[in-house]
Amino acid sequence: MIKDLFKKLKFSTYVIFHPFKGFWELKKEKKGNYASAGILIALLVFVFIARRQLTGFIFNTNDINNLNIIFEITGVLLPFFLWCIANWCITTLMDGEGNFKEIVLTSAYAITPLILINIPLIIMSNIITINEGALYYFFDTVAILWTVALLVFGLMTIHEFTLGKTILTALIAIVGMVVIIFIGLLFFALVQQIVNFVGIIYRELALRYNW
Amino acid sequence: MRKIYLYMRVILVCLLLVTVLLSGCSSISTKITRKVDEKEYAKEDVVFDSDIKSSEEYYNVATVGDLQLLISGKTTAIQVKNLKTGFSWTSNPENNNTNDFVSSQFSVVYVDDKDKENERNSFADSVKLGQYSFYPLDNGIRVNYTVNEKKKEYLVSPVIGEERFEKILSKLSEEDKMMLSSFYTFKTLEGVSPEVEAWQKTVFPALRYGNIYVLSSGYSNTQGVTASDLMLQMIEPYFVKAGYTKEDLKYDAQQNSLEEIKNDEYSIELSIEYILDENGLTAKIPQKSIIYDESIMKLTELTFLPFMGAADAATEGFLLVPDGSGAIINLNNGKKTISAYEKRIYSADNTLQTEIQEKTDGSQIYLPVFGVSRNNNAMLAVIEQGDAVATISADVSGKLNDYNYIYSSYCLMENSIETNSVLNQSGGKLYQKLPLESDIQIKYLFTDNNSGSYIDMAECYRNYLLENNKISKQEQNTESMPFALNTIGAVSYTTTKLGIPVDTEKALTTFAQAQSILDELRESGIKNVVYSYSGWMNKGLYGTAPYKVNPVKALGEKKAFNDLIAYVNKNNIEFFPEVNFSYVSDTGNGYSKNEDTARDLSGNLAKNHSYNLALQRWNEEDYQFIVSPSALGRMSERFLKSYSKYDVNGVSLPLLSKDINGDYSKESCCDRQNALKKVEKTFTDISKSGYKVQVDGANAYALSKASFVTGVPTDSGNHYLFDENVPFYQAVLHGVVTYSATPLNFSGDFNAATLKCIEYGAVPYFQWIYADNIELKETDYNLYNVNYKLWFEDAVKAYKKIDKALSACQGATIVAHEKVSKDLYKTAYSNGYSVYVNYSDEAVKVADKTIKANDYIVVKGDK
Repeated sequence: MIKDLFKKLKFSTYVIFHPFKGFWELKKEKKGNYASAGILIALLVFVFIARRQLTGFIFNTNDINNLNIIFEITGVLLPFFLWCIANWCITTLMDGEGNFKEIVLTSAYAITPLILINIPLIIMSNIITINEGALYYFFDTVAILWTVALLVFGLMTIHEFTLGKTILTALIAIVGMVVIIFIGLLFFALVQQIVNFVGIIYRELALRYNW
Repeated sequence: MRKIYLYMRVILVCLLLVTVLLSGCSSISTKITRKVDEKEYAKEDVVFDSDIKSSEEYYNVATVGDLQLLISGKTTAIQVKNLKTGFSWTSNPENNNTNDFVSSQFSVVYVDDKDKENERNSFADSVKLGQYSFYPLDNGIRVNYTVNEKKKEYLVSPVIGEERFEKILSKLSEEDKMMLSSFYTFKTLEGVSPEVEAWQKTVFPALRYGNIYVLSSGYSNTQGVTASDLMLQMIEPYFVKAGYTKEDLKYDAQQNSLEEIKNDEYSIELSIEYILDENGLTAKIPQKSIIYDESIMKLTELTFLPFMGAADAATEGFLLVPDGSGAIINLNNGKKTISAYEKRIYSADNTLQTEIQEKTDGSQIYLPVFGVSRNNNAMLAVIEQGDAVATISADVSGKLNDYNYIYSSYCLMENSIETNSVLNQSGGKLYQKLPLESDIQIKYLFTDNNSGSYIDMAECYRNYLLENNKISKQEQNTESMPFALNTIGAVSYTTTKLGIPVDTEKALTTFAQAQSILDELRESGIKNVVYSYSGWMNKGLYGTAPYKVNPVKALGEKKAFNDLIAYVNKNNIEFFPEVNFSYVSDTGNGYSKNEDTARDLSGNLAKNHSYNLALQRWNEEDYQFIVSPSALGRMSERFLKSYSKYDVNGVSLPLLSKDINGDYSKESCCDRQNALKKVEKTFTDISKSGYKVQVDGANAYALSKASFVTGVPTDSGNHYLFDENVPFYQAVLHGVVTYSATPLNFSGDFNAATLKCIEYGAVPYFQWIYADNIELKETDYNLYNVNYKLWFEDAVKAYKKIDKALSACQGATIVAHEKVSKDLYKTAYSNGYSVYVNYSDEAVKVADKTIKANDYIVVKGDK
């Protein structure tokens, strides 16, 4: 069981170097599952917190005394799942072949470079000087670009899209994320307004009639 | 679908209507009524009354000892004459005939039912109208006033039948006829459409019986006569010329079925009682004598004897203001461009604090007294009742009138503005539900000796306090001066545990460290330490309610605390662990947020917010709950039970002795004067349980049980009207209760502050922590100069300097204080010692001795 899980995790290192074949196998041969994806996301959360707390002070703009772990976790999970949901919504409409599970797995496996590159980066940031910062920022950027590329290739594979259509759906998905956030905020704001309004009406009556 | 919506709407509207109606009913049934023993204050004594009123001179009311009380039957002004010296104090300046307020014994502010504020004074609105009477009392007199705004009745009928109007016209000349009829409009039902007829009949019922004349736009069936006074004044002469009488007016009103609209009478009855005894005069307004119609008006403010002892432009002397340590305003000091002095006694009520706060000078009035010195005669007014709602105001001549005056005014109903209103965007005013439940009473003391200085006033006040047990004489150690020390135990701060923010306590001075500081002080030769310990219990400095006493874990085990107690007991250190009954930051430990917290006028939980200097408003999220005075009793009772487990015999109550906050909730409304009584009771309870009490600041009510007073200000608020700061508070206390100045480590100029301690006879006081100052970063305590190591050497030096100067004078009282020259002050004590303090940077010669720059000398037997 654990061996199987480990194998599935190890598969992520294969995927990042062979995206088309890897993601295809991920989809068709079930070489990943929710557990392995969950572990990858947890690792990302962990790496991001480590990066926030342990990056050398030259490259660290955060107040490390002021850590709120809840914010850090939601800061990773919220965009991740928003992305998955938005992407699923859009690709379903645009004849994508992938289902929701495959989108989650693909996105989770695609963030592997972020995990792998950031660990040595944290160590490096404590050693190098600011003049050598270019190196740090270079690898930082590489991690992001690699992940973005993997995401595009992965989605292209599982949805069986062309590259152009993948990029188009990805862009629409980003717009979709914004819309979801907007609607969520709007909802909360409205509920808050209603609660406030009822409260004020009560107050007004209470003060006016000496309840 | 549509129908459903319609039904829902109808149901909603019905519900709303029902609630409104129900609440309307309930508001009527719960209307506040106050029982008044009217008989007592309505008593009349016609003979006595007419006797006084008929006498041209001042009428002699009573003579007690050297004092004689006289009253004028014409103006109700009083006079207190000292038969020995022949000097008189009057309630109002004589020969004033320009300003009604100056001739008043009181003035009131009331809010009418249209939310308009009105001000009335006793002279213009009562005495001038002859609405006052006198009643004899033992050694005194009661003056009953009715302050009234009488609405004038004009001989003008707004509606008159056609026949009668023509009869009036027929008696007038042609010209007058024209004028009078121009004011009236003829109304008839002939030739109008049915709709107009019906409408006209509702407005003017008299139209049913015939044609009428109506005062043009001067009458409505809902409001009565709406014409302006000016217009009615113009019309009245014509009616008078036609021989129109009051009976005619009544007849016309009946004939035309005019609604008699009630004219609200905003009249106020109140009595002043003056009673003379050997010491002085008591002036009192009994709360029960204040009577007015509470359904149409609210009496919010009362100014009492505003010109008692007022001095005219030819008099020399000063006004004593109790701001901080005390300050004097020289009579006629010519500061005519500066706004008048005005400050609430015991500072503002924190329960009523508003988001945008007025800038304060950080100084507080601790003693409810004020004084006037005129041509070497001094009068000191002590507010005996109503002090917690009193404001002291002072001004000099040449601004509003020709007199220098100082007086107190009283807030009978607090108000605040409610801005969160849906129905009324500009916000409405909310008032305290019940008016002040206390009498207002001032005791005027007169010094009969010679100089009339502020030291004489202080002596007078000290004797008064001692006689009335409002202060208790403490044993004084004359061998060495005490050294007052305060350490802060723990303070709350936010840290992260596993990345999750948690509130916890940071240890600044543990029990063991406190002991080592005390040890070091002893080693450096300071034997007599008075030690108070803040933030040692219940989560530290900003902690939980003291329902149960739990020493903070971060400071050490319980055993360590008991060790500290054993150490102080062994070494005769006076130990005062600090307890906070006034504010609660953390609701736990048995504190009920809803029941134990005071409420403001709109019924919200009262919060004491921290103040943001940059924004000049409060910090929304940073606050402590204000404990209701009603909760004080049970809180102190349970505290004492829990506290008795420890072998200590002292307790420090700095906040209770500095702040009093009211509770304005509907259920347990407790105005500030009542709150003061409850605070006093707490002091009594604690002291009855055998504890010595250390107070800080400290307000007058806290002095009665105080065995040591820390933080007595050496400064006033430095209002621009002041001419000099004086050690009035110190002169009251010295030789009776030992006091310290504010912490020396918070002073701007340490050497000057040390010299000030010597001048003001104060014990040195320091507030320290054992930890480094940097430990205070990110905590809730933000004064960064409290690390003891940085201050230790200076503190010992300062102590030795003060000890050398003052230890001999410890039990003596201050008998004189004067500014010899610029930067040179002299304080003389009852044991014959005088201390000269030189604040300048150059040496000064005094009485054959030289005082070095920034130094002092002590002279014995100097007069």
